[in-house]
Amino acid sequence: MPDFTWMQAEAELTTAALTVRAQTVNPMDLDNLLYNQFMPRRNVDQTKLSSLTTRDVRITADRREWNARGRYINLVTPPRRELEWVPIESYFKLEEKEINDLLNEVRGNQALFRSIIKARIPERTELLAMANWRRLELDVFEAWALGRITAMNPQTGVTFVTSYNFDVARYTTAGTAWNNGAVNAYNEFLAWLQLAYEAVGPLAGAYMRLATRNAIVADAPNPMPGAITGLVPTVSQVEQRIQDETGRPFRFFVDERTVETFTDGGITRQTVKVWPAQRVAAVPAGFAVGTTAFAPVARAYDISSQTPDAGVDVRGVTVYHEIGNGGRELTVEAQFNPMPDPDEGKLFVINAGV
Amino acid sequence: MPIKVSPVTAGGEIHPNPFVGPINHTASVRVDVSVMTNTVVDSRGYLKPGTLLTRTGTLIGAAGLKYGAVVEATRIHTDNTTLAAVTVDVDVAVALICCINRAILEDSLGRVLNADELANPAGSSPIVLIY
Repeated sequence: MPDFTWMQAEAELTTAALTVRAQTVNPMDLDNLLYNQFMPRRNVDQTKLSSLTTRDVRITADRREWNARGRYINLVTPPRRELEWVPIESYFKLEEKEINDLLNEVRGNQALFRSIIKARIPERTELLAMANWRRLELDVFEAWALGRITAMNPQTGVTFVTSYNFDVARYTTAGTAWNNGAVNAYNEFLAWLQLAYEAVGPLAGAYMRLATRNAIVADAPNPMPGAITGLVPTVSQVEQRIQDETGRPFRFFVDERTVETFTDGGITRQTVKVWPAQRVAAVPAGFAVGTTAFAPVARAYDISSQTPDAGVDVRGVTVYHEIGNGGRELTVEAQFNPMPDPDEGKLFVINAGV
Repeated sequence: MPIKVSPVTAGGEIHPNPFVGPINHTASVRVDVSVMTNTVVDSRGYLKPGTLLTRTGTLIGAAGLKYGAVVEATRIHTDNTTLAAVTVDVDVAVALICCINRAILEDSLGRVLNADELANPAGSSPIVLIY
């Protein structure tokens, strides 16, 4: 009968070691995860915080007469909201038969068994860490594109949608879908972009799906109207034209990345796009539309205090063992506590209908 | 699932300071909270700066002489809906000699100053309204 207590004797399989290994997993997943570009990490001390929105207040003073007082400038306070959130966690289990089957493979050779297990458990732990990062990625981009977070209860499959209650003027819907023949997608986009400059400030570009960008490019003016009829410009030509027309830097940010999410409390999964369809968002200069608040994991403090030299990040992915069923079952959990915290002043999104 | 986003404050502007120039001559007035109104007291019970008061701590009426203007937002109650029932008076600092920007004060109060507040009958403190 397997007894998982030996795991603590294996240096590579302790909770501290697995936590360190989980925290060395590249959270960018070979550049497939971009949350840190647009909502960079910010360390916080608890899973409840007050969030301030920046306000672009541009008060001007006035000239005064000699010997008189100038203009009184009053203090303007931004809206404040409180965020409270729950952890992101994933786990796997090893049961008695799986361990027995493995023992059978190695013909009861404990040393060989342990060397194989030492490779497999950390590998599976890394999968947990990446699954956690992908959930954060989805949350960050949903918070940006839709102004809300959708959480699914991992046991029941029931979803909970929590809105950030942003100003409705920052999340609009096109009166006519941009791919409707009655409108020109390129002109509609330029008009929206001008509003985005006013609402957000200097921009780096616009974030969208491929179909939306294609619709804009398809309706862009012929770059050589006098020479060739019906010539469709290239993407770079359209970007250049937008820069020329607006006098500001611009590029398209196209996102067709996918992840697999669970459809209910079971194991059935579906492939979903990280960026919602039809949404076009202004990308501010500097890219950041907010921050991602990382709160500490309570269990990580134990690990950090036991192995201070390991440099465990108490706000990073933390791995925890749980042995049950009289030693017949091992559960390995990976948890962290991040929450997207968008800055309302940097948000400007339209549902383009395409 | 307790993911919660709670709007705590809507954001806006703090009570403006309507005084133009320094305030050097102050006195304490015992404010009769029960006669205060919801234009001079905000929803959190703060008496707004610049509010004109008589020597007996009431608002300026036909018979009331201007004695002083409230120097700074001062909490006199918990809200502005149950002022009439308050029986305990509160001491508030007022400026006796000062200049007040009328437009700022009216923006803060959300109403125009009435004729009694604008008048300067003999015996009123030299509170000059600039407009």
